[in-house]
Amino acid sequence: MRKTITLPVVSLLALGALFCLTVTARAQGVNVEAAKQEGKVIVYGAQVPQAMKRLHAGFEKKYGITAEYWRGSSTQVAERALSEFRAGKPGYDVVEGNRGVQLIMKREGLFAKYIAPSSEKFPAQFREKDGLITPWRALPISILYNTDLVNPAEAPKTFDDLLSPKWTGKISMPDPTRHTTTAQFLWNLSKFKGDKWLDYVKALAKQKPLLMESLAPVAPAIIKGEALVGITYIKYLKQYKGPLGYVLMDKYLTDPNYMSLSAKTARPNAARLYIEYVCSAEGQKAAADEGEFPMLPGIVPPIKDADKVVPGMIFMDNPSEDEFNKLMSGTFRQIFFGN
Amino acid sequence: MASMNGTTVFSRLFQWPMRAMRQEPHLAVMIAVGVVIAYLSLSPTLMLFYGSFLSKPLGVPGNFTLHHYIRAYTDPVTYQLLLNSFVFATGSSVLATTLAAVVAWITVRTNAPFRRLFELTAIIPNIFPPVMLAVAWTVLLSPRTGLINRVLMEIFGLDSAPLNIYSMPGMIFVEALITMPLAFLIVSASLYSMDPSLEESARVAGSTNLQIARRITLPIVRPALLASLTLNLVRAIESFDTPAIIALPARIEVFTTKIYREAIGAFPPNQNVAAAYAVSLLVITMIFVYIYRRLTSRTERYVTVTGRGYRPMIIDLGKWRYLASAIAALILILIVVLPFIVLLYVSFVSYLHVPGEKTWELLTLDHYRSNLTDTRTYRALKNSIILAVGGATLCMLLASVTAYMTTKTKSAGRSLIEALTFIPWAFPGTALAIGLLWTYVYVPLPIYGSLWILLIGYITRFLPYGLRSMTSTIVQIHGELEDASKACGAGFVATFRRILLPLMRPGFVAGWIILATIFLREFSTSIFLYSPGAEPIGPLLYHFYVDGNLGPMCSLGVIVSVICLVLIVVARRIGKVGESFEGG
Repeated sequence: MRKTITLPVVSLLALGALFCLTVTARAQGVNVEAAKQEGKVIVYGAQVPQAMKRLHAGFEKKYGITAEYWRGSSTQVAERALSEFRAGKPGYDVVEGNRGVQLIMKREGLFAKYIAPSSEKFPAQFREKDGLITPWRALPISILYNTDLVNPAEAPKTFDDLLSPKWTGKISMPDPTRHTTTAQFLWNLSKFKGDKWLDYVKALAKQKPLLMESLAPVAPAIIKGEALVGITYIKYLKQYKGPLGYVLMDKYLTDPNYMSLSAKTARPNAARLYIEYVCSAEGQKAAADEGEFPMLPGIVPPIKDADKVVPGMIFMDNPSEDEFNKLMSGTFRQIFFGN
Repeated sequence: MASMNGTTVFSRLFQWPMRAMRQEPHLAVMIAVGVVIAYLSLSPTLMLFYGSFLSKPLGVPGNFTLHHYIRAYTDPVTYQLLLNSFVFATGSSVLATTLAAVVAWITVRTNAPFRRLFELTAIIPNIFPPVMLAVAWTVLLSPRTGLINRVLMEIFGLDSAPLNIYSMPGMIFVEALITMPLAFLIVSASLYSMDPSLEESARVAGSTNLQIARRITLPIVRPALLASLTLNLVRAIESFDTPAIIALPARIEVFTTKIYREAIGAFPPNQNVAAAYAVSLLVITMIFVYIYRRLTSRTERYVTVTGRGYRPMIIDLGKWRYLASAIAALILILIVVLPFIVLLYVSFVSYLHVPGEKTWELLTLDHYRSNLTDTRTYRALKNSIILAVGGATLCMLLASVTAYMTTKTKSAGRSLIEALTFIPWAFPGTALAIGLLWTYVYVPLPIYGSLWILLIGYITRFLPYGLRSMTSTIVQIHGELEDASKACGAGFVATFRRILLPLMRPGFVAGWIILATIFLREFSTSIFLYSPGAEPIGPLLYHFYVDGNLGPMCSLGVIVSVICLVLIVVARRIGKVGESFEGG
């Protein structure tokens, strides 16, 4: 009798231990004291510095470790990190950026494996099996408009509506021959339009959009009234003050951004602790408060109907480096500039 | 025994320079100065060439290749950007010199009311970051929301904006306003220093004002006009401030934007091609700087000579003097008043909009508050002040010794040093930055990714400004003072420190002020070289602009202008310099 009771208990305990071991083997804890000794962490990232303030303030307050942040576009971040890595002088401990450039850097061997324990709570489809890059925020793209100059009832409801003559010359978007995420976005329209995605891009180019350097200045251009509507991230409703609204859609092409640990970091513990903090509920909340859509379920930014956006997010696929080159220097250059 | 020999050889080797220093102090200092300037000038130049011929990216060993030049020069876009650069540079230098000549003539030679006030056009812009001037004009003349466009559309009932800053004329206009103060300094100095007796003779001989202007004044100031044209042409070709703000959105490609896009903005970036373009740009600027130096070889010193012994003849314009004042005032308004008003306006409203009733609701101090409490801004200000104060001081010390060596001594290496200072004269900020990146990524010292690389870049690029200021001061110091010091037993170092440096102080402080204010606002070199923790003001302002944060950008612009003003006042107090500010 005693034997029959003990066996299931032991088996359960063994199973539990095995589960714990599996989780521990995947997620890697951090030596907080060693991290504090290292004193600071240097992050290269594509996120605007203002939107990182709250996150960094929380990290610094909690651990007394300074987060130094260098900001560039995703392309600039990748270029700088690659150059420094090749020269054997990586100035960064953590690199933040979109999936496209993170995959390039991963291929070049810039990153070391690190699975933050908190990232285990992210939905399985967002997690990376090899643990070399860690998703931490999603950036859904929609149509934004100036609420002083455009009546919400008359605002476009879909990307197709932007092709109406009433929006000719009144649309703003980043230049897809210079901005990788925009090139990627247009290429990913095939998810909705199949083979006809390129026809849509050609029609959009005929609307003579005001082309910007990146997605960020699209929002201020709409606020100023330089454009009435624009294609950009929903998060800018929180990050820019002014008369901005966005269009609720069924599906949103979304650009996930990642944090990755440098393979040659001089401050490995502080870097790991930083990534863990970013993935923790506290870090994800700090990011959401700045308008970001974090990965942790249940946390949304303080933007009207943000909870309705989350189920409609579709992660964009990534063109290869060659495809990017062809799109940006060839196809889109021809379509938007005729040369 | 071997060890003894080794020690002896070592101590002899060590003693040789000391002995040489005692016997020929000039020669030793000359060698030291030569080595420093050679290193500053040649290392980025050679590494720039190296990078442009290397098959692999920055930091990766590669082979010799001509591929990047072939790629650059088989691309038709290159010829378009060559043309664009020349149209932009020529247009802006002609406009800047014309405006400068008009204001200088009104200020120096006429009896126009308030004429001394118009000299502010030469001084006040020194406190504005040039990118801010360009941004202010985009706020005024952007096609849809530009404030001037909106006013014109309302007054004349126009359907579309009559002016567009995002165009070649827009770029030329803004660059001319940025470079006009330098042209003003050159032309006004020439007008101040000209001998009035020539004009008086012509007048006695019965010439009219117009004839005097055409036959006497114009030929005399022609070298200054040509110098101004050439110098501003070089400055515009190498300028990245205006193109970064206007050419990139307008899709007008010039050399500097191309280098920026290849090195930083392209996907994937190609710093080898950027280096190839930078080499071409360097060659072009060298040719023009050579022409400039030929033009000014005999008359270079007039820039800082402030009319000693001469009092320019004042022309009575009669009732036209009010029109002259109005013209000069208009130029002052374009360069100083309007941009500063725009800067203040944008810095005090929540977001940029056409001023109206809702402006009162949108008034805010948030942009100032966020800048003054933000650690990133605070660190950038600290970095820029360190670079401004430390960099300007080091640069002026180097300039003082170099200027002394090249003007007061007959040492053998003198002409070589003069030749080496030619390179910084011509080095465009963008090309220098690419050269420095290629240099310090290989140097096993903690320079890459620190403030040091910025300091080295600033000193290299702006050494000529310090040299100009010091050379003109040193030529005025009589050799008897040095001889007296030496006769009393003082060595070279003691003479330099106790006699020459105090006498050089006016030139030193004038040069220091110019360098410190430039370093505080520097942008086109810094944007390529800065790194986390070592970010100065210029790149921070640009990132505010790129992200569309005009409010924080303009409030920071105002803060920087105030700091520049404080630096100028403090330096002038320390140096007790009066009118010799027009040193650069």
